[in-house]
Amino acid sequence: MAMPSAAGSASDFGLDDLLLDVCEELQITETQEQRARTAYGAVGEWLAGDGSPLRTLGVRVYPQGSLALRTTTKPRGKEEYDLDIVCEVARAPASPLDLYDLVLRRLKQHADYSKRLVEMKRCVRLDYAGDFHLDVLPGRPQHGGQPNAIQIPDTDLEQWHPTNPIEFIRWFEEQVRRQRSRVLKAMQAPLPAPLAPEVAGPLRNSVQLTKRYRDNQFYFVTEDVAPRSIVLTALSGEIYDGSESLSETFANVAAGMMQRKREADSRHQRLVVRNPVSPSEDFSERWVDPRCYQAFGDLLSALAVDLARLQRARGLGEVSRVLDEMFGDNLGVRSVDRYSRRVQAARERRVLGPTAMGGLSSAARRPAQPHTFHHD
Amino acid sequence: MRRGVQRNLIRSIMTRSIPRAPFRDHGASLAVQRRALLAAHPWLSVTVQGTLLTAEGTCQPTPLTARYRVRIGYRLGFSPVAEILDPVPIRRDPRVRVIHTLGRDSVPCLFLPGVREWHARLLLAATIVPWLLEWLVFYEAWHVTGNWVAGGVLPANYPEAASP
Repeated sequence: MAMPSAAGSASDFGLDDLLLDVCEELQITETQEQRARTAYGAVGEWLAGDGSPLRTLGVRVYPQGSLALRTTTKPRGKEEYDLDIVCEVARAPASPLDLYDLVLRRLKQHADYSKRLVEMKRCVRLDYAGDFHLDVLPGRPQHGGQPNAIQIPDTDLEQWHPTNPIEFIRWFEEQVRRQRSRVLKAMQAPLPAPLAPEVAGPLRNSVQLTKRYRDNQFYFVTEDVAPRSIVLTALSGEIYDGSESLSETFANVAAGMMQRKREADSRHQRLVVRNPVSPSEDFSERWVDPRCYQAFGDLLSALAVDLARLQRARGLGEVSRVLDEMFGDNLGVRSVDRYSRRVQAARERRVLGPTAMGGLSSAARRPAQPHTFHHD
Repeated sequence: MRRGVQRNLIRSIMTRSIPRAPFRDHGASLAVQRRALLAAHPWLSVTVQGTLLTAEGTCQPTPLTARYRVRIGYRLGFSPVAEILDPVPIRRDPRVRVIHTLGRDSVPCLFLPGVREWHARLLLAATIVPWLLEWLVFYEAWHVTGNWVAGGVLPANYPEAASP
């Protein structure tokens, strides 16, 4: 990976900048974000607001997953965003299936939601076709455990599944803050606003890139074997070393995941990725299925190859081809377009100038004189 | 006029620096241009032969672009010409010359003529060289995206529209 410049790679126009431009293209759009926010608010109100029968049982609603972590990533093609809401009921029924039915019934009472809902193993999905789906996870507090520990119903196994979304989010935010230098804004709103890539930080951006890479690799795979986002997110958070460089972070996380898998393989065990704040929860539980574990290994191998190609690529043409292949949907071409506009913006601000080594910088000692391109 | 005054007058005229008879003002001399180029862009090797200055070297405008061997030629009294030797710029459409070039695919067109964007008092090191580096980045991006995002003037019959 191109070594980041000492003075902050913003002046470098290197791979950090281009990968940031990829992340810009992966941002959820403002209109989509607004719609998600509206739907979230409405569902939350329905479940926990004044008219809800769940109120007498003590209910609170909060987001989890990529919206809460602020790592939402535009899925490839026409696929939908995945948004998660936890509906935690304080005085829940003893049986997991009963809790699930309780929440399901409340949602069915709503004319609109009843048409959208799909019953799934651990959540009730509300499908906003072509846009996003909202997964409502019923839960009950797990007493005596960690703060905010909950149990959610697994309707296949007919048992409780332990988890701790709030503490995981807090843990992840701590990892994000390990970034050397730069002050990050604290999370405030109940539904956190998405962050522009420049302020989201390299860890979040790297998670977005990894998720999108995964989406692209498994786009045509019909079996449901792709590694889960929560696994990729937890691994990324654990491996992250505080680097300020996105390209370095992305590469180090990929290498770190490969290393951990190899270490587990050498002990003839499978890699286990637990919730760092709730070790009884195995995020990687699906890897007991060898096809899923193989898929994870395949993803890491492919990523290593592609990162090497990216590092060797010379010229925006080759770089954009590699990015197109890695991320799909012409993301290579689109991010090169952004990148070139970034250079032009520096030129318009009269800060673009030559370096002594035959390059350009937006922090050059002597910016170039204004001029107009012509053609004859 | 008294002889003493006349002698003083002649002496003062002789000792004061007298401008030469005016001749064509070429602005910065080639020696000055060469020194400025070598100081600001040590990757260039610069030679001067008579009234012709030639600067040649290999540059890489950003860490993501290719490396280019380029040459700048400047003859006193004429406009400087930059040329991209290797790799030569490639067309998007084989029938249409590379955008913002001057007569050939390998010669970028870096300034407007006739409006003193370039003139002989300017240093090549502060103008042509950085303009050339800029051109290379925008050219590579144009090749990928079809958009030239750095503005400029195109003839009406150039098929590509200006950047959206």
